[in-house]
Amino acid sequence: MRLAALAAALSLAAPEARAWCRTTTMPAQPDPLVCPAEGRPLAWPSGCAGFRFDPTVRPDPGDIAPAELERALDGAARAWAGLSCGGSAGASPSFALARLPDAVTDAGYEGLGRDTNTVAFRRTWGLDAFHPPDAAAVTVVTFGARSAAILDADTDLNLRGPSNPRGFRFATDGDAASADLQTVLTHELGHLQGLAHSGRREAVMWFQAGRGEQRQTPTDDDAAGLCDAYPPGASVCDPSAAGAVLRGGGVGCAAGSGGGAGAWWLLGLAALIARRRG
Amino acid sequence: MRSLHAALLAGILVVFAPVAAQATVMLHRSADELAAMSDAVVVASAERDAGGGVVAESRWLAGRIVTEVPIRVRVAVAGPWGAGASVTLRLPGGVVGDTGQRVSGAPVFRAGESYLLFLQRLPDGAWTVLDMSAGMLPLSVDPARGLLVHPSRAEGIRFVEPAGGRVVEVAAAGEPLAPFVARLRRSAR
Repeated sequence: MRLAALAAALSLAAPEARAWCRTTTMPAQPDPLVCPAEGRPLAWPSGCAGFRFDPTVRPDPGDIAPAELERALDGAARAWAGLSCGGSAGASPSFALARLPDAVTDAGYEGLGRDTNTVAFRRTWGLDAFHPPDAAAVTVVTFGARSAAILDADTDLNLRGPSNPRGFRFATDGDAASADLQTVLTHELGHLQGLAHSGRREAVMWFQAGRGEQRQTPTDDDAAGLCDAYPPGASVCDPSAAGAVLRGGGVGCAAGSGGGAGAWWLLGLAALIARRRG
Repeated sequence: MRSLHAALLAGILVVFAPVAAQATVMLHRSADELAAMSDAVVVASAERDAGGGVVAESRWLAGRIVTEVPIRVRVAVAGPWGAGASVTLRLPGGVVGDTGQRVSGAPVFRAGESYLLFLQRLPDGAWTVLDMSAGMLPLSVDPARGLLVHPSRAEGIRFVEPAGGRVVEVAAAGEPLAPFVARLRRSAR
């Protein structure tokens, strides 16, 4: 009886595993179920960011048809739009994520205004410290060490092919032997926005995934993390950053990117601005 | 075994190594698989500077920031070095000036900590930790059980389950280092 009471007391006293977490300036998340305790949380300063798919390398159409690839890329970005921060007003995070028109880009970060947030399949892998042989996807995030502002985020996908036989096979149909592309991308785009891993098993930002497992829709927990990083009404998409995009840079607002993949996002941004002005 | 203890007992204080929080999606490997894939396996700790911190130097390399960390080999399990050798590892990410760069799961060395490391030789001859922090198993000292090796925490890594089933991992409570190393010697190439 005493043991039961003690166990119950310990259970009550034990801190609940923190769910959503934010990435900070310090490489310190001592436990995936505990948020980083050091450093300042990272966020985009402009309230918006875009990424471009580099079409140089594409999956075998037999694995992922071109239309399915488009759907996965658009779907991963769109999944983060319109999340609710709760409350009676049902306000959304003041951040917009856009898929910008595809572009062939150089990997790496220059800091000269030409950098682009890139998602790219790679058919060479393991040649440097950034691409470990067993990694299916890697995201490199560049940030201002003092400002904690995210400057750039590039995601590389380790695609299996004749020149890369140890790479991964991606799929969009839930194939049990493959990594689900949209699940991987949605998770990576969560990191692009400044989220770290969550302690909730059902969250997109949970740190494990089975082969073929599909977890493509951000949960309330994922939304809460994004709302913390970008509280409703707190961020405004900076037009000067939009200018950088129009010149090919990586920071965000895709105004002028035209229709197609970016159109849904422009609508969302317009709604966001209208709501603020209203 | 006694020399192993003597080499490691002093100064070992394991607080599980933190790693970056961005995403890397990685295939989950067992320690034996990592040993078979490695170019070297060592028990080592990072060199310390005069202030007691880890010696580390970050620089730009081909549009990315890398950090070079010298380590001291305490026990050579497999590979070209003997105990006492100093080896410089190239790790992804770091801070240069006002610019920081991180990649998910990058290994982070803490002063005074020792690790069982699975190492990979890169094409340009540099050495890095195989599979980032997944190839870095922290050690601790248990008064009753001696030196223990623990599973990698690999916090910045999102694991994909292997196609063939679940991975047999190092026990969370730790396994005695000596028999673990003996097993890895059989697995290492």
